[in-house]
Amino acid sequence: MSVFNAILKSTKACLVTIIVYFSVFVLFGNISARATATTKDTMFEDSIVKVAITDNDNSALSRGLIEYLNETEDVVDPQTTSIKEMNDNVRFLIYDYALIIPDDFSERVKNGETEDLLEFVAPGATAPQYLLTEKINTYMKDVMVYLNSGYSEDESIALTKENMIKLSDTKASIMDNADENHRSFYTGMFTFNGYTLMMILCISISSVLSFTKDVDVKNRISVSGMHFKTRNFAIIAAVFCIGIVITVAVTIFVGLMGLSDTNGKFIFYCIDVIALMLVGLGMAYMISAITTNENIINMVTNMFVLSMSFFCGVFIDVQFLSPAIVKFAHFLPLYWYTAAIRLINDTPVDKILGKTFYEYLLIEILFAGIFFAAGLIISKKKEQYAV
Amino acid sequence: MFLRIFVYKIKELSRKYWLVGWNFVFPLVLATAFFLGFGNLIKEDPDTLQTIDVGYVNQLDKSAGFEQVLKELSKENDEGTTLLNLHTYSSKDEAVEDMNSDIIFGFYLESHDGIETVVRSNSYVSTIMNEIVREYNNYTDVINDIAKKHPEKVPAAMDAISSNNSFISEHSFGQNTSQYLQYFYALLAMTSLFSSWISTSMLEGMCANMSECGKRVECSPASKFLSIAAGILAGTLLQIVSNIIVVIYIQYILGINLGVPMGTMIILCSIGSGLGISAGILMGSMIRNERLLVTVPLFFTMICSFFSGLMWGQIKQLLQYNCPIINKINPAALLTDAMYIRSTYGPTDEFYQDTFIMCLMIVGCLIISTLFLRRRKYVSL
Amino acid sequence: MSQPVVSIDNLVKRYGENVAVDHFSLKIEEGEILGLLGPNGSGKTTTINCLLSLLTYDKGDIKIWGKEMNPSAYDIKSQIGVVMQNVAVIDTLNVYENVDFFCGLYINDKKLRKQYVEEALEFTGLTDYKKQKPKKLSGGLLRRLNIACGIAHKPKLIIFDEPTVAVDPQSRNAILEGIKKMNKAGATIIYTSHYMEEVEELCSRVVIMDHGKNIANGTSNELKSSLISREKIRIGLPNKSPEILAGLKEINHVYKVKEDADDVIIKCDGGEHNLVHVLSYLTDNNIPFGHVTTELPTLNDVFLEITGKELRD
Repeated sequence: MSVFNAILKSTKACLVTIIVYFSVFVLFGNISARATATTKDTMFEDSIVKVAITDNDNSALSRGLIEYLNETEDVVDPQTTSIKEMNDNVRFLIYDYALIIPDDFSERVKNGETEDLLEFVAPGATAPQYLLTEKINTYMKDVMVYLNSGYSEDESIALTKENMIKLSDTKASIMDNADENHRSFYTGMFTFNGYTLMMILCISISSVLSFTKDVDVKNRISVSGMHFKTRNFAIIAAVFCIGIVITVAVTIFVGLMGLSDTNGKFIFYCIDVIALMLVGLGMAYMISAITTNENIINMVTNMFVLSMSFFCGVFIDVQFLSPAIVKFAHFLPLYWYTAAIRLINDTPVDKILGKTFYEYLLIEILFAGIFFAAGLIISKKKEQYAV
Repeated sequence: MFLRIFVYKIKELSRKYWLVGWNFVFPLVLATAFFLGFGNLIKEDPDTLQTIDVGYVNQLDKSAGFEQVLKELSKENDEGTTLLNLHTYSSKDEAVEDMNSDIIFGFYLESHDGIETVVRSNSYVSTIMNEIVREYNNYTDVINDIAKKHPEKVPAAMDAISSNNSFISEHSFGQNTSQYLQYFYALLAMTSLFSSWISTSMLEGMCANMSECGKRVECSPASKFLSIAAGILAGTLLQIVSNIIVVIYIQYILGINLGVPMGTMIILCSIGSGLGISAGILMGSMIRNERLLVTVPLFFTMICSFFSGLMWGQIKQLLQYNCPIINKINPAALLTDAMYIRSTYGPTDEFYQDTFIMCLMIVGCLIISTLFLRRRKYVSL
Repeated sequence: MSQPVVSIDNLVKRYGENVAVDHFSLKIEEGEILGLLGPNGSGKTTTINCLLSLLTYDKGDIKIWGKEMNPSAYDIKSQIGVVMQNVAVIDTLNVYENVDFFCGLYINDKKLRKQYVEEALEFTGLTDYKKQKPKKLSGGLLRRLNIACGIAHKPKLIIFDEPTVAVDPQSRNAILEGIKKMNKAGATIIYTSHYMEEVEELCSRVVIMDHGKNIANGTSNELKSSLISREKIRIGLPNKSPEILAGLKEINHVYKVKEDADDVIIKCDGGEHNLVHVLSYLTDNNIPFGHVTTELPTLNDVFLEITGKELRD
């Protein structure tokens, strides 16, 4: 019991690490999960573009255009008059589109000019950019056609607006039968958890285990008369205990955060997280066999877990990764964890429990075993060669 | 004396495995991870509008004008891109089946009731699909309006409507730097700031209040400032080498064009290294606790890197409007900003302003550190 | 009279309320090995740090070779060698590089430095280990490296701050022999310790510190001769009747007779052949006795008599 207690007590030394990564999980996990969570659409809705407008003309025509955009899009303050800064803002997604109405806009329209009357800044040829450019072009074309056909400025603006409103009634519908288009809050949170839980487990458990690997401590325990089985059982039990406490804390937190989006799939995410916990414990054991230096534990864990998170769909969705990377990711345990999460997300709740799900879990457990075996071999070799 | 201390400091620091690991290996691993993660996105921005696979079901007895419009949009435009890839179906069921199999994004159903857009979910692409229908309907409405009041203008109006006018044009900034490069700039900034560890580690061996070796150095006739200056130079050189390795690795091995000329990049990396080293000297001159000497530089680096956009690219721009001073005092933000500006807009005033502030920070940190370190006799050891 | 190498006058160093060094004065002449004795926390290391100008002090004057010691007194510093209480070496440099680095802080001439480094390694018996990293050295070898780093530049004044703490007897003897050799070569030495045997063996003069004060100063013999108790005889005595004890006390020069378990301790305040007199009394009176030992006073006795506590307390 004393070995068990000592290991549990020495976890206190890693409390700061646990708190830091848990905070990262709470903050960024939530942000990314909320940002990427989507729900099943039941009716067609236009996607709205966040557009910042700078009106240097302030004419009836420019105001008409702004009014139209105000009704159909999300018009925001450009926050600057510098075109470069607007470019920075669209690049860093403060808004999607910056529209600049030059001071000679109205005059040029009245002169019948049709080219480059307005200017925009957008982050490349994106869908919002295409959409809004098309809308503005259509609006301008209508106004110009009305003006050139003998309508007054006010009439042209009014008729164009009327047309645009009438067009909102265009028939459009949603026909959605599958889950896979939608990412639940839980999927977002548990995906991010792949990074933070692995970091917490690897750093804290490796650090805790490193004290039992210290030659003097190890010798002292060995000569204490405590049976080999008893002390190793105590170490394993303590490590599992820490792992389970951390995992349960994380899972409860996710459960509470997503109460509003709760569904029957939560239990399956939990099963996947437990499998990941085993991987984390195995990896921690392996790292502690490689080194007992806290600095190196930190570094090795960061390098390994961070890289895995990039390759395995934690930070970047696998659909954006090249096929070669995805193929390579198959050899990493985190890939199977995220694959199981995707499976849970995309499959109706009554069909999750099946061969594929079990396969994914089994692969994760196999990885945990491989890491543990590797740790054992490294420890043994180190002892053999007195490294 | 200076040269000897310099050489020994290089030897001493470069043999610290954890330091080499964090300052040389970690950035390379992270750069590789970024490359594997963002490499695809840099080469091909996922936000770029791709050709949309759309279906068309004609339930009318005759061929319709709208189908012609879709066919027109399925042709390559002046910019060499194609908006639509049209699939025609004889029945709605066929179209639905293909839509559910991800062969098409959505489809148009034209019947006597009009044109209906059917999609699986709401998105910009579904809005674009619907917009095509609206534009088509819009032309009809406009011509009808004109025909009512000014029938003589209808031919001209039809010409105007079918013309390919571009009322709006994009402002060009020359080089179109990918927004994902931001992560690599932030990575370089983080690498630079990691050098604050080099400084604290170097100072530890030089100040009597930090280590036994420091006592020995301070008991010797070697000038403390000369010794520290040699250490600073050694640390900066190591960090510059580390940064250049990372830049070369990203640019030439990973093949990601950082968009900044190599010479400028080396200067910026050197300034970044100087920033990290001088910040570390400042921390080392103020902190005595051995644990804090490791954790403070780590937290400093990670917090600065976070606010420069290492983990969330948007943050720097959000701060620009909510608390711009943070971007001006955050060394990592200044460095990423300088790289971003240089690659996107060239050597503008803002670029020089960022560079100047960074140089000023280096000088400021060193002056304040000198004031702290001047107290050569300690009240307690 | 020649100028003292070190002159500390009325030194006071406070840490808040706590007075670490309390009006401490000391003079060290050239060629001396001065032992600075005192229990842990008596102010030895603080005095050394003040002497080296590493610490500020509240009051007093410190002069070395007649010049005021301050952080910028580089000419003085260049003649001083310090062997710290804790090992002060750079882990990432090997033995040779460590000695060369620290020697290089004093000696600029490359050729001379090389010679000095080789000599220091030879002197400390580290020549065979010069490519080894400090972490690979045993405790004793590490202490020797610590010494080599402090003395390689052949200083005229060497300060050893408890250099033999946690050192095996073999290495300890080697260190003490080395210090004697350095002293013979002309170096003045300050040696702080709380091992009185070492100080007695090594030092030509001893200063005892307690609570930051200089409580005794003189050669080992001078200090011991200042004691009342000059000889201590311990006898295993089964019969400790008051008559026998009173009889023992009657012997010339015996001033105290004390029971200590099965033994009796007899303290004498001088005289010669005290043991003969005691044994004669016992045999003459047919008093049976067991083992007999006699002890001359040690510095610990000096300390005990002055402060009422043991040096290692």
